[in-house]
Amino acid sequence: MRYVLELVIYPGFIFATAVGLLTSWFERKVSALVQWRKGPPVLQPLYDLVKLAGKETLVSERANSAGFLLAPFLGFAGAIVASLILWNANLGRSFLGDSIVLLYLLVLPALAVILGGLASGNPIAILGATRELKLVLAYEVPLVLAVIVAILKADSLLLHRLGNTITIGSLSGVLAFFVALLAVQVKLGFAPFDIAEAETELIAGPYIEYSGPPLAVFKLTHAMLLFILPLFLVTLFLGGIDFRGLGWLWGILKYLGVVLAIVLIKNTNPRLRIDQAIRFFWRYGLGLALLALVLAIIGDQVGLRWL
Amino acid sequence: MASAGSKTRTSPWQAWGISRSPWVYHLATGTCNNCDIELLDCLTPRYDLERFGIKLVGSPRHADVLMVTGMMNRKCLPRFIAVCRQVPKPYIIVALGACGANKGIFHDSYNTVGPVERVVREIMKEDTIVVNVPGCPPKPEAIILGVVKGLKLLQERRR
Amino acid sequence: MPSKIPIGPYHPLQEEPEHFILTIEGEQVVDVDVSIGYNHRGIEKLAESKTYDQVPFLVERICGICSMSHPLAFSLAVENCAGIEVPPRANYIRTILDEIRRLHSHLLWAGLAGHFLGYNTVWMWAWKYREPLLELSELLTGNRNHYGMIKVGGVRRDIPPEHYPLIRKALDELKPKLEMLYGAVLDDPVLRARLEGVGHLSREDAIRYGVLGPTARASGVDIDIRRDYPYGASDKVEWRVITSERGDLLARVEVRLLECFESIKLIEGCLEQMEPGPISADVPRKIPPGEGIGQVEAPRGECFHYVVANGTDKPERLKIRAPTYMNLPSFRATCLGETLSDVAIILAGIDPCYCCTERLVRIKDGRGERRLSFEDLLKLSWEKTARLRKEAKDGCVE
Repeated sequence: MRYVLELVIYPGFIFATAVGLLTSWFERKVSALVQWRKGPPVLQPLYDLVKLAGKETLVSERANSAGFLLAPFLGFAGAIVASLILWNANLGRSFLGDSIVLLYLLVLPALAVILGGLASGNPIAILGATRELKLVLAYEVPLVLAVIVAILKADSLLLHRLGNTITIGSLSGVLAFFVALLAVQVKLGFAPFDIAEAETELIAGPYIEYSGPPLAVFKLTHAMLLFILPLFLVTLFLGGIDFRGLGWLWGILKYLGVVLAIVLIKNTNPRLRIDQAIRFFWRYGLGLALLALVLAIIGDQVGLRWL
Repeated sequence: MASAGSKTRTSPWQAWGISRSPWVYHLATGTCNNCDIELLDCLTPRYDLERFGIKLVGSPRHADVLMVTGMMNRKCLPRFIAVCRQVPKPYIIVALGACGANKGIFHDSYNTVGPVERVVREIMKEDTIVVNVPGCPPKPEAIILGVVKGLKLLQERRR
Repeated sequence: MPSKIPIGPYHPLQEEPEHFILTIEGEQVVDVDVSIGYNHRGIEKLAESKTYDQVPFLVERICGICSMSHPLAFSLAVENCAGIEVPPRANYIRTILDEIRRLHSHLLWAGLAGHFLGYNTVWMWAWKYREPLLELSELLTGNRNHYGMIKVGGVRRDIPPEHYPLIRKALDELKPKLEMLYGAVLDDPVLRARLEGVGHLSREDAIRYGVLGPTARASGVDIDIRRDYPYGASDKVEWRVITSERGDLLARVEVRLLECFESIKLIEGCLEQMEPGPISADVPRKIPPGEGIGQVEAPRGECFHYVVANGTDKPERLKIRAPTYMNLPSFRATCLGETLSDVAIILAGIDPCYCCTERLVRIKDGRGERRLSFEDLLKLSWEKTARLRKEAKDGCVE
């Protein structure tokens, strides 16, 4: 029973959704302020979800309806479990290798988008799905390398221990954080890496055929990712959220700072081309991550903490 | 169409949801481009429709409000009908500009099949809500008012 | 395996319906086909049923963005046909409004180009700066977009002297913002990566395809109707034509943004030189038989109107050629071999205005069954010429 409660209410579905929707509003509000606008009300993301839940679900004739309708829930499930593991780790409950499990879980939303896009039978959605696939191939390796740097610094696979180490306090940590931040930017589908959705090229990419509740699930997953991924960065690189005393306030500030960085990157960059994005990750992303890894290993061997 | 008639019975929470976050899909059917620009203008800092949750979407599948501009050209007619069929119900149609409302200056053109409302009622035989926003082009304030009125109608129509 | 991706008829890339069929291999575009007609409104035919006083309103509604150029070109054509001399003050007012329109159009395009690149901040900022211009238009003409200011022989409304400082103030406020935008666009490394060297149109290709306006000037073709065939007051004020040799998208952005400064110069010069006087010439209700042409440098290039008058108060024939009609085919030179992402911005790069372009109609034979091809039309034309010749010959014999 405790597990069910944990999964559904706190820190699972309801909690992650609430924080995710708030973050989603924060993202839209900051974007609006950067663009000299006033921006939406606080509950706007929730209104969107309610609205979508009340709309008709249309399935195109060419679509594989089972795959089409199940795909959103795959990503959704991944996001819920990921948020559970991550929040529990910050609370001090961790199990061996949960950082690795988390990495796998975080690929699920991207996989869901790819599956949904391919199942919808629309040429544009398929093109969007292949772009998403290429992006996954591009950013996963640098991201994993960046995580390995954090693991080396904390000297543990436990997310809890990772959360207690301020990885960014070292040179390699800064480099790894930068790479991971960009990878998170892709995972969230924000400019300059919103190549898969690319509104003005592919209309909505893999989401083009979705309507009503399945689209709402995708939006929800995205909102939850907006909660999970910055928290993931905070936990891995910025020392996590400490719940003793006023530590949680500092933790929230760290979290908001990461979200702010993501939103500002989103709003000050045009969309890259897919080949440019892949080249960027394989050349600079991988290079930086490898450099960080080498520095971290050297620092570990020599005993220089700042490397 | 019987099925369309039964579908338009909108439950209160559906209408409430749509009135809180109307996503707009823009459809030009033989225009001079001006209503279209004024519509985009509504999203920019001076008017900022995102305050009310209004967002421009690229796929008709995501739309709640169809903004139709132009005098409904013969070549656009089948496309317009196809797009209307792709929009998940419930939704409303807003016919922008003098052309959308009553063909405007192109009233005598050989290439028009009439204002949007006539097309929806007589050719598609549906009772979707159609709001006409006259003006050449309508000012952004008028466009906002049109959307608001359409959403009000949608809420009143619930049974 | 090549697959076909449609852009349009309804696509967020364009405000107007237009259908491009891109054949792609992976991400690379190997063929572009275009299907038009979604915006055809039969304006040329409609114009034949309207009087010379009404047609400017009609041709104004060809396009909402260059809604100054079309009525101006039409009026120039009629004035050319009937030999009407436009009073100088009307000419100055025409140029002022034309340049305000150009400023608005270029800013609009800059914003939309940002939007097409997924850079919504540029979109919002450019359109924020454009808003005072629309307000200025509303002050001067009474409407934000369709002005209804141009009539054959002059303009409909005067600009009172107390509005001069307001115009100057709006332009002075615009200048630093334009400079900021220019700097922001040209200095952004990611933007440069997306624009530099993309959609390259060489000078030879530009001449071969006959592209016009900023698209041609960005490829190093030094043409501008305002200088080459002056209209309004464009020959009385100091300004220069902006060209660039590079021919890529960045050059097109650069040319358009720099042209904004020249437009400001033109307006300021006009305001300085303008003297009180009549704003409209006397125009006869019935235009004597003849033909006339009018050329205007619209924001997108040369806008050309040809009018045949037959002695009544309505034109016998009006032929319109908008700049996009010439710019559109250059896609074949710029798009092929590029990736899909780039094609989206290249298509937008010429600032296409499809509603200007759509002057075509599919011609069917009498029963409406068969579409007439180019050869059919050619044959019909030959037959008619032969018949007319024969009639003329017969007439001579008698």
